[in-house]
Amino acid sequence: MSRNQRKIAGPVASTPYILFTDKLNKPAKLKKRRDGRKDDEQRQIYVKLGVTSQAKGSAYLEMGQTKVIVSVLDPREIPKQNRKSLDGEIQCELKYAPFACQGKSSAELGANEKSLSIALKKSLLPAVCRHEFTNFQIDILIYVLQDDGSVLSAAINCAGLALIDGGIPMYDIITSTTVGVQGDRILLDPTASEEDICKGSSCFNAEHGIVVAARLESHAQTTEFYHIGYILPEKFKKISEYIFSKNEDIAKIVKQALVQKVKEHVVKKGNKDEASN
Amino acid sequence: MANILLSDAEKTFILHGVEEDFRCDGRTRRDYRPMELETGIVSHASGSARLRLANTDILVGIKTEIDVPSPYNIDKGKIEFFIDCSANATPEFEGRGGEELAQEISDTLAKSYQSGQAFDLRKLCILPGQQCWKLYVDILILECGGNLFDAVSLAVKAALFNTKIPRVTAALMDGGNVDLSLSDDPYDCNRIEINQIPILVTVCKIGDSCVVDPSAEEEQCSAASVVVGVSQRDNKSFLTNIHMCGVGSFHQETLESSVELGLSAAEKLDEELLIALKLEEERFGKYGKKEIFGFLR
Repeated sequence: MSRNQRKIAGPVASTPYILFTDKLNKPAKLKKRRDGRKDDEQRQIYVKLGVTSQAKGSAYLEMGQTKVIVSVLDPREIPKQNRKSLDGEIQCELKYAPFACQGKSSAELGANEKSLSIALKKSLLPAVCRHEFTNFQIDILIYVLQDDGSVLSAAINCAGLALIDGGIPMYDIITSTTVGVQGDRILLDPTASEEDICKGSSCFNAEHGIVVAARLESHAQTTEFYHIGYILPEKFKKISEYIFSKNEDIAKIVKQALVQKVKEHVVKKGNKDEASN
Repeated sequence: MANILLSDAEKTFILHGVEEDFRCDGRTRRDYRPMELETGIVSHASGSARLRLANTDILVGIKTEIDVPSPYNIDKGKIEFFIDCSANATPEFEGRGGEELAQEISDTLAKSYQSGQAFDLRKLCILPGQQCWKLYVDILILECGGNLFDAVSLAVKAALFNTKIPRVTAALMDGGNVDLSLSDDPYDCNRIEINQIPILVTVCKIGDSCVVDPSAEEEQCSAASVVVGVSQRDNKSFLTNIHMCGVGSFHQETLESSVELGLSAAEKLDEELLIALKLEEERFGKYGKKEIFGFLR
């Protein structure tokens, strides 16, 4: 992330004020979800395609308060390579806006950006028909405007839409879901504070964890499965089934957005034809 | 990882071997290659281990330093992983070549150690909010013969077993500052509890079947693999992380069966590692001098 060099960082030995508010004194265990959702209730999703004019394809996605914007640039020749690659390359760059989240140091965010970029690239690679881009690379730029949990899922969903919007040939629609595990509960689409609890570095007796899965819808292929935490193998099976069934719901939304886009396009074209006649 | 150029015929040969459950080196799909493990070989480190898994050579050194706990976790110590891919391992690592791989391995390690149940950072705290131990885990990849994740995690676990943290005999609060006095006796020290520490197992999908401990050549034939982190607690196995590598994808059923395979391999591996470490300690005493074999001997 680019840092404002002139910004005054404060004294070296300062203590973040947030420690003195009751925000940090949250329970290590979760009772009710703060936004009143049920455990298996997805946050509301808003998508819009074709939001930036300079990119080949772009999309904007909101999942509750998590907001990401993705642009896909035109394929270009791979710079500075020493051998010809038969398959095209994908380059992902994920960046956090400086105001995207609270209470994380810049070093922490930087490391996070890097590992999210790698995870994103891995999940998108199997979805794109790379053999059609011999020696070319596609740049995908992801900007996280606000992080309120499930960022990787939001970024994968949004990047999938942006790739389709840019007319990049793909095998399938790619969708992704995040779940949090806390004891016996499985929380769909956790927010940032729920994610913190589920990550559970302070949890010493119960199962906990975060699972992110990305999936190609009609091929039933998992392109990314990412889990951290502490869960029993039986729980893993349960979650993997659960997460894939929930992925189908996201796929419906994605399909709807795409159909909407085509409809608008047809209407626009119809109007144009009428005008020229 | 290490880029070995294989012809299509060679790849097909490996693929058929895996299908027949008889791999190039005579192993079945569930077999590991032989390992060599030696601990305490770096005299300047608090703990160290060297692991050689066939052609993969890993050296781990652990340094301990005193640090101030983070204001968000005042009762916890710190641990940091750093991986250096030496250019000796493969020419690909020259310059910044190994950086992405190093980042991936250290990320995976950090994530599997993240849970409080896998690695209890509270044990590294000296005075809450004031002083704690910080462990620097430096991992050197000397030779790369495939299956880096497994080898690195085993070597780190062995090095943590070997780590000796000096005992704090007194802590004085002098004004706002803390005055620690450490024991003068170099043999008077604390050890790290390693039973729950997770180990990683890579399950590599070659053709339609999955293998453990892939060699560099086999890695070249596979489009996707999954790394499973497994920690033992109360005689039960827990999954600490799952992570996919490579450009390919998994079917849901394959994913589930690979995780299962990884789990059973990890259980066995963990058991054997603990036996080997205890055996080494018994033979040479806890702090006794022993002959260091090291490298090239």
